[in-house]
Amino acid sequence: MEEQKKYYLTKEGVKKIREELENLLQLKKIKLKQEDISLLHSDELNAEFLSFHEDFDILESRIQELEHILHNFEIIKKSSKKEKNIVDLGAQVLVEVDGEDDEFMIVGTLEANPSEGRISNESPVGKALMGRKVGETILINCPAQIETTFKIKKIRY
Amino acid sequence: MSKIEKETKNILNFLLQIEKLKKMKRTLWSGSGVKNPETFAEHSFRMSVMSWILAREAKEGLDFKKIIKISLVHDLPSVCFKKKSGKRNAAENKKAVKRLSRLLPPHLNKDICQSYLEYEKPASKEGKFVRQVDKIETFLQALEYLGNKPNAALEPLRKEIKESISSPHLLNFFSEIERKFFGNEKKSGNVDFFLEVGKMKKRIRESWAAKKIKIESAVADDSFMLAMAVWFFAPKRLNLEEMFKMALIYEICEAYIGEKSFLEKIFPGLFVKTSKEKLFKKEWRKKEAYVKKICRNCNNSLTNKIVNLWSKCKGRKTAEGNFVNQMYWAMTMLELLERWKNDKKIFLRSWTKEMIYYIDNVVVLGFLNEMYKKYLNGKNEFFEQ
Repeated sequence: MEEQKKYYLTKEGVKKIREELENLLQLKKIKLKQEDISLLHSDELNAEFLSFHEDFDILESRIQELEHILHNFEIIKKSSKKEKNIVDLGAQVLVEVDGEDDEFMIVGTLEANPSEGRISNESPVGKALMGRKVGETILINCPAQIETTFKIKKIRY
Repeated sequence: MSKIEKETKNILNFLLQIEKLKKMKRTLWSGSGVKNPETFAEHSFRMSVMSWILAREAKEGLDFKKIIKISLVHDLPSVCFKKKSGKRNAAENKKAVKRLSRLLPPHLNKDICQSYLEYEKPASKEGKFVRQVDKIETFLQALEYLGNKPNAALEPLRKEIKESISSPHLLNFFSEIERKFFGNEKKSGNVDFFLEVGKMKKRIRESWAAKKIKIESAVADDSFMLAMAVWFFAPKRLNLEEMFKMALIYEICEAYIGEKSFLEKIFPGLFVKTSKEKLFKKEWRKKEAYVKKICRNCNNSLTNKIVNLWSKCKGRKTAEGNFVNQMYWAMTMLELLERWKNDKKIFLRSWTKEMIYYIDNVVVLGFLNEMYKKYLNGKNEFFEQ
């Protein structure tokens, strides 16, 4: 089932993954040829190489993971004018949560990091907000009989 | 109840059993005058880090994943014995581990028992290696507690350990410790690093202090539990060895954070997106600098490896990093719920709210739901109304 999973990515996300794959393939080539790491001019690549030096399996599995993503991704499309007031992937959403304002972007799981304000569409918050409109109030059940209220104030793309 | 729910529930109960290792003090130090000695979990934590790193450098063709597993489980029998004193024989220990893990899913039960047997009756080179590291970690801890002055307890221990080491690399490392403590060597790569890691046995997580929650377990205890949880819930397609390493070093920077006072709040719900990004970057820079500081005397390869593992987990940059990061949040919740049982003043609301932002992995969400069922009565599936 996991094989068929679609990964939703922004254009920047796809670019980053392609760049990472390219770098890792270069590292693999160097590793296989047992060439001198001084061939790597970038400090960043050098550090990455040293880290992978003894863990070839990790390098291999990361390459496979990135290739798998690049075979199964879908770019997050810009919403049409009609759909601009509906929460979808790529939306910057301003919500009022229990009386306090909060803003975040809804992204696919691969680009999500709530600490940086990017919420996954597969998280309980992401799932609950998808397809909702400005003005709607959504209750998300947290445990201990605690309900968190999200009021959508603004949606931007 | 579905099969997955039942398995998750059993794993949760198992984790709660081994959680006792966070409170149990190692009997070795009783009578030595050491105040507030390390727990079994703290010892197992540093031993796991040492086993992995020393095995990595030993170049003896050792299986790192196996090494970490053996290190993590080697003190499991202690959970089952309330009596602190008295040596137990191998059969009693083996029986205790079997009894403890009997409810786990069959593949985990087998894995735990086999890993323990590797330690008890080491037939493999990994088992033998870990047994030696166990003694070396104890010796390092003894030096930290008792100092290098002549001591009736230290000298026989030193002699006994030295005689029992067979790995050339470990013998070199033992000499490194001796030079550091009894010679004039001030800078000593791996020894310095393991001493820094040892600070986590005393550090309390910064976020507890930030939210004024009185939790006594040290970062080393929590990291030990995180590594165990990662083992039991790891999706098959992910690399467990990499995740073990991430779990062990994820909170390494806490060794320094406790000394400073930057109680930054990075929790969603309080800031708009740009502020969150700014705070995250600021926090990242500080923590990364601490990770590098801890590794300052290590060789480049190890420093890069540790910084890389930390960054992939903290930034959720790989599937493994993402999983360990989410499991860290779930284990934080478990720790809180355990405390909440006896102290209802702990304000759960803000934490349960974090979870609906931070977790999107189905396995971790299932684990959280089992916790909520156990502690908060009734099913509390995440759903919208």
